[in-house]
Amino acid sequence: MRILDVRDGNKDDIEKGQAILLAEIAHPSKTVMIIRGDGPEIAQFADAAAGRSDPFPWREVVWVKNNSIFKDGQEKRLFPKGNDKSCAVILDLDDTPLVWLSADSNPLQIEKAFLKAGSNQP
Amino acid sequence: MKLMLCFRPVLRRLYKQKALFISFFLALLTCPFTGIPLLADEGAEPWMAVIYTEWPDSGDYAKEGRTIKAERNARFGIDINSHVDVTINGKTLGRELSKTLHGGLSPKVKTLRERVDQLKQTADSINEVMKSLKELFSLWNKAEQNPEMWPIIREKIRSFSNTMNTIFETLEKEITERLKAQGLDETAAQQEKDKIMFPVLTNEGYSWSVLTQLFQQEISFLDDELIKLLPEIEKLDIEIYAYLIRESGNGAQVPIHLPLYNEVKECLPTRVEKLTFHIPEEQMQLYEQHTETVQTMTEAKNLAGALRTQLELNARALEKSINDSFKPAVSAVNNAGDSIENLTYWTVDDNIEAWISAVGDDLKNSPQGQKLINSYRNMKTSLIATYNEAVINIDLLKSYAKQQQTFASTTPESAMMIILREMRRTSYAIKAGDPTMLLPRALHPATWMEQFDTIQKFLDVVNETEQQAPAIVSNIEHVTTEGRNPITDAKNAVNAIRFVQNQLTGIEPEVRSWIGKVLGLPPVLAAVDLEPPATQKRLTITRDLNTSFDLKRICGERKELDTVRVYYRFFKGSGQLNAGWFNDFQLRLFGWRDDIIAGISFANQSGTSTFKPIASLSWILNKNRWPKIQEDGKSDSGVGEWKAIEWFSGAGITTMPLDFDQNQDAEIGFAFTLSFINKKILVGYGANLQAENDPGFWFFSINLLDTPGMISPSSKRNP
Repeated sequence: MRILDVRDGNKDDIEKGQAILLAEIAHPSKTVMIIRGDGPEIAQFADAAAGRSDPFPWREVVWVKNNSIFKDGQEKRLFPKGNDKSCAVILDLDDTPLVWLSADSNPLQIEKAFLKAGSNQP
Repeated sequence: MKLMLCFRPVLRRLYKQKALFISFFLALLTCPFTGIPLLADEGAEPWMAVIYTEWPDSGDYAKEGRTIKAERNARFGIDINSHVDVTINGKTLGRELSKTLHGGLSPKVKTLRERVDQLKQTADSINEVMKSLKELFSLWNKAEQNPEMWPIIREKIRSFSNTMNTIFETLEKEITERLKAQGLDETAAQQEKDKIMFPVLTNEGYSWSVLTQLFQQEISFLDDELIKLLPEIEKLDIEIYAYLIRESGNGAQVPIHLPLYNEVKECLPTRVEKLTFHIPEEQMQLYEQHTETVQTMTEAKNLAGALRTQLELNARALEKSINDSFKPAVSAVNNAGDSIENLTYWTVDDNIEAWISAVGDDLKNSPQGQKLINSYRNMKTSLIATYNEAVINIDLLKSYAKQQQTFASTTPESAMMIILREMRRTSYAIKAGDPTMLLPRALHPATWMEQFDTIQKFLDVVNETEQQAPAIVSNIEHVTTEGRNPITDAKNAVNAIRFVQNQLTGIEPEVRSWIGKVLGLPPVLAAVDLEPPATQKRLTITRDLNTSFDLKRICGERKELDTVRVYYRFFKGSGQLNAGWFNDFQLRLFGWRDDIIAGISFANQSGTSTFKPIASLSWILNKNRWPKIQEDGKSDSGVGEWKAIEWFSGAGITTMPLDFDQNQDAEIGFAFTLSFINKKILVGYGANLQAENDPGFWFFSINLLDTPGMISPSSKRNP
């Protein structure tokens, strides 16, 4: 799991975070889960998500703790209306946001979300 | 006929009443008096209820047993000294047999069946998904260096995820349905289902065993439901019986005791020894025939001539012994000569070295290729050590022979018997931990086991390379020296021999059985089903159905390649269901074993170019590998097939009479021997025990057909 955060509005942190997020999404054969926000509930969710991602190299979890890392409009594109309350999204192999999860999702729901994203045809 | 008698009056009447013909037809299908099988549902798979566990008395599976899943009319190889537990899951059997019962089934039963079938089908895909996951990991590691592989990997991920998704969805749906049927509301059922499913997810990915268990559990729950709705299941009976069928076809089939099912007598346990150090009567007879045959033959001027003569001898024997339908086989044997002759080029060390250096770059550039080179060098070093040791051993043996006067004025068969006696003694002494082993190492069977293992290791690496790095094999198959390639030559030789075998199929069963024995083909079993033994019992399928059979306690001699056939038959009242099947168990000698092979060899004395035809006796030690259990838990069948050609098939000692020294009356040749291609080709280096000068000689022997009567004194050769 990649954890991206920003120290006191540090620009360098933001730029590096953006680059990492972009690179992970751009990987040709990975399903990427992007988690947003912070707090105990999110941390617990992130832990469960890492548990379902770590065994498989084609799954990646990026936890964006600070939303200033998202580029302009990027967060809205990832969490559009209807899913704007979700804490995580999984992109399919073609980088299309496909499955949204709430922070109370259990490992089984996370696993099935990864499988759904992995099996999605272009 | 029985059927016609039963319905004759009805038939006459119905002939004029076509409207009732359909009723007649339906009645016919369920006629309880005819004794004919009732119509089966194509989907019934009662064998799924049966699992065998083989318990050999030694070797790889002695402690934990080897599990074999029953399949319809399948053949399995089992060790000749084992007993087999037959475990039958009554619920699975009931469910599958219910598919053969037509009419009167409620929609609920049909739905339950469909659910079971869906679960079974999905559970079956677990093995496939396990394999595809493994493949995906392997590809991922390679793709880090080869970006062009990403599109392939994406497709693999999609396919894996899709199947895994179906597995989860199917199982979750069934668990939830069951929980709701047990009284839980939707939310509670979902929560409980999640709790049941969690153990499937592990830090390593998935627990396949938990997943499989959950499927089995749900299938079992559905089976319980199904059986409650099918009271007629209780009226079904099962009959299991078994016979030992001799590979030779001689003698009556021997019924086998199956607890609960019959009262066939069992005898005191007997063990078939695999290292016998014994010359079978058949091989001794063959040796005597060969001794006479070689009197009519003259020496060959060179290696090629000797090879030709060997092949011609085999072809002529075939031609003479059997009728015209064998002509294609005769021609195939002749053609095999060219292919085998090509292999002799690779017996010259310089030729192999030249080729290895030509393919060196190809091999050195990959870890698997490097492993192949190292393995070859290890084998070569070991073989050179063997050769050096062979020379020392021969000296030791000579001094042993002189001291004991053991081999003075003896015949090769007596010499072989002396060697075998000493080997047996050594073997027993090793078992007993006797430290006074003063005999030459050549007489320690362990020496040959070591040599066998060294060569086998090299061949394992070759096989591994073919599977894991086919590109290497494909590349080096194009590298030639003097227009030759050893892999191609070797493959051609095996194909030529296989072609001989193919020509020998499609002929009369009794001849095929006989030829099959020679070439290691599966035995021809009687096509007619055997009836149950006199004390046979039928059991209702709702009781404990487990049974077993013990090969060691069968009354009567059992031999390698004999077959135990186990029949399963099912009845509703007196009517037999069309759901029966049989399983064949071919008796094999797994682990270390020895064979004595009588052959006609061509021997070449050091420093000369001619090859003398000589009758020989070889003791060959071989290790027949135990069947493997695959990753999906399925066992290899373990059946010996011709197609499973053993390139390297043993190592040992050959004795033969030599006539190299004009001053000696009796000369015994003693040669260290390697055997190839299912023991059909023997090659060896040895010494004339009585010769004062130039004692070394090498020999080869090709014996495609080696049954007494095949190669007879009247088979003559062209000089």
